[in-house]
Amino acid sequence: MRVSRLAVGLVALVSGCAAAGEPAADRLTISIAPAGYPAAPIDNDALPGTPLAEARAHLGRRLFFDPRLSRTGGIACATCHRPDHGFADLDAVSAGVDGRRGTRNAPALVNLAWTEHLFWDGRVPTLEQQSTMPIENPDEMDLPLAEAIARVNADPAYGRAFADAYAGVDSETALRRSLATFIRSLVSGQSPYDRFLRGDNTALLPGARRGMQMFFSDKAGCFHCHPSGPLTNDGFFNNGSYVTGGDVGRSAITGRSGDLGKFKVPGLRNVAATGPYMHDGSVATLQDAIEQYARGGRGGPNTDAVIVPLLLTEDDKADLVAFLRALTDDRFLNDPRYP
Amino acid sequence: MSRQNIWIPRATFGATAVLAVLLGACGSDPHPGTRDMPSDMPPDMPPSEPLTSSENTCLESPAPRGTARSLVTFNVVFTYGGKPVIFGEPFAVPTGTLTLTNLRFFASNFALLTAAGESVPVDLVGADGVPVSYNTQLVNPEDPTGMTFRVAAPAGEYAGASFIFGLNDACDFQNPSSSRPPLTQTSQLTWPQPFGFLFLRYAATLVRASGTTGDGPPTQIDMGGFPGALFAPRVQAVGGVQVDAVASNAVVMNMALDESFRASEMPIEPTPPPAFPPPPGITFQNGESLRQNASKVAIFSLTPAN
Repeated sequence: MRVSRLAVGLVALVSGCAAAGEPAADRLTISIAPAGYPAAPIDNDALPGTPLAEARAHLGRRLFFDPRLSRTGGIACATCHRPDHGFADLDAVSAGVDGRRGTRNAPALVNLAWTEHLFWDGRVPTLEQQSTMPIENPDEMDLPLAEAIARVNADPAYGRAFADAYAGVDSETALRRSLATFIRSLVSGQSPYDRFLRGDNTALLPGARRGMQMFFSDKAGCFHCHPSGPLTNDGFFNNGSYVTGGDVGRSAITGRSGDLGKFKVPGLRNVAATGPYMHDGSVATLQDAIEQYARGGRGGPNTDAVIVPLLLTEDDKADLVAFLRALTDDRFLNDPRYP
Repeated sequence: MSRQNIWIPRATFGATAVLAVLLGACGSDPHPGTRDMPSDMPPDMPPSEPLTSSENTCLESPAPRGTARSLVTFNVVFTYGGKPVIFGEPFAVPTGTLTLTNLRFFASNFALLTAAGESVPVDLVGADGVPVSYNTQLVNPEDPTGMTFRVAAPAGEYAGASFIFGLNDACDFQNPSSSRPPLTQTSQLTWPQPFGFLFLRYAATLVRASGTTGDGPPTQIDMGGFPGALFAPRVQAVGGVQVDAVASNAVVMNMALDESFRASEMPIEPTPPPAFPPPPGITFQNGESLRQNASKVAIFSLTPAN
């Protein structure tokens, strides 16, 4: 518990340090780790909650919602990572510039400050590296980074904001760090499950409680990849969604055949709002996801040994769905800081 | 509902309860612990017994032992049939081909063993020589740094090494939500309770060759214990370790998968039943068997680094 106290202490120390010109209600980076998470990682040279971090996060937010970072000027990061859907998309695979489609579901951007692997296949380890890759991806925003930087630099308002947040830092680094700092500030920790973990025994309704018990039981076995607290072990597993000829996932990064069909285990905060599910968005609803696991996956090769047919009753499945719905943080989904 | 209601005993404890019932009237190996031990190894701490208080500590920033210490690098290699195998790539087994998809374990409380049988406790350290958190290494082939670890040891010649194949009991009580790596959820070795860890997690894909019969190697093993009751085994790795005070020192630590599989299928001794409904399943039986028998077979060995 020592680390958690440190986090609380940090918040107390910096609670009066809103960025210059930013109203306290619009602070982005001051947060306490959600229940069951370690204390928030420190962001490089800008402590969360300090004016510098706030300036960078606000700049990152502006960039995140700015469609000028796409070739057509019509697609922003937020187009596919919608705040009211847990920063995920309603489409199985998102539409990028000119309606182009990729192959993977837009992952929810929540509590990523604690992750060590980004993208479904974990190809990069930091948000700084990740944050500009969709800008350049031809199926997403399709804008060379140099052009994105040029567009930003041509805007005097951005120029002032960058000068405030980064003295002597090159534009590309500043752009990456701003987006990363904003994404790192997207912390969701007010769901009924979070409140339960903090000791509120009234937070979960009976069905959700039974579902939680089932979730952490060997009968369902969800906890093998979604451990208590973060609800992700940040690992890569073939959860039975892979079928022969499909997206090979982690294997394309490592070159190992044993990684065939492995994808990153997502955290589950706000999962009821982030459908459709799985790496390809092929599962429409939470009920469908439970059914797929209950069947032991789709029968593809290299399915992990823990993915086996489950002896779940219809009541068990309903309880699991109730628990998953109890991971919804309404304050986060309706947060006015994310327009 | 209190937190206790979602507490689940870890794999081996639950399986032990089943087996305590199933095997209670059955015979077991009349000479456990003697059949497969290398003859040239000194006796060491048996499994399933608590450590002395000085060994049973779990400090986030442990203090170094002594000052005259040299670094020894251990490179972990998985083997099958005496040959190295590559994580994530298929290799031949009698029933077909096996591909490791997950294999990770904790190793802690290291000691080097002299030819006379003396156990010399050593620190697990980083490249800078500073003891690592909890004196614990997560051996993990999916982490680029997870197959190499270092100990700081007094110079000398040693006949082998000894370590806890898992965590000591104090570390098994740690809360993964408030601990530093490797005792966190990302170790993938946690279990759904406020404290407690798996010691080893193994998963593999077996592609059967046509015409083969019989059981293949196990494809899943979860080895754990139970804080305060069922402990991780202390195992030995036979092989010379030369610790030079000046030159760099390195050794290969082989982990014989075939021996691990054999240990996971050996008889299990009944243990006191828990007050929980136990989860069934061969996975847990394999894990408990490995926990009980790991020290009886030569899973680990040391060879010179090239």
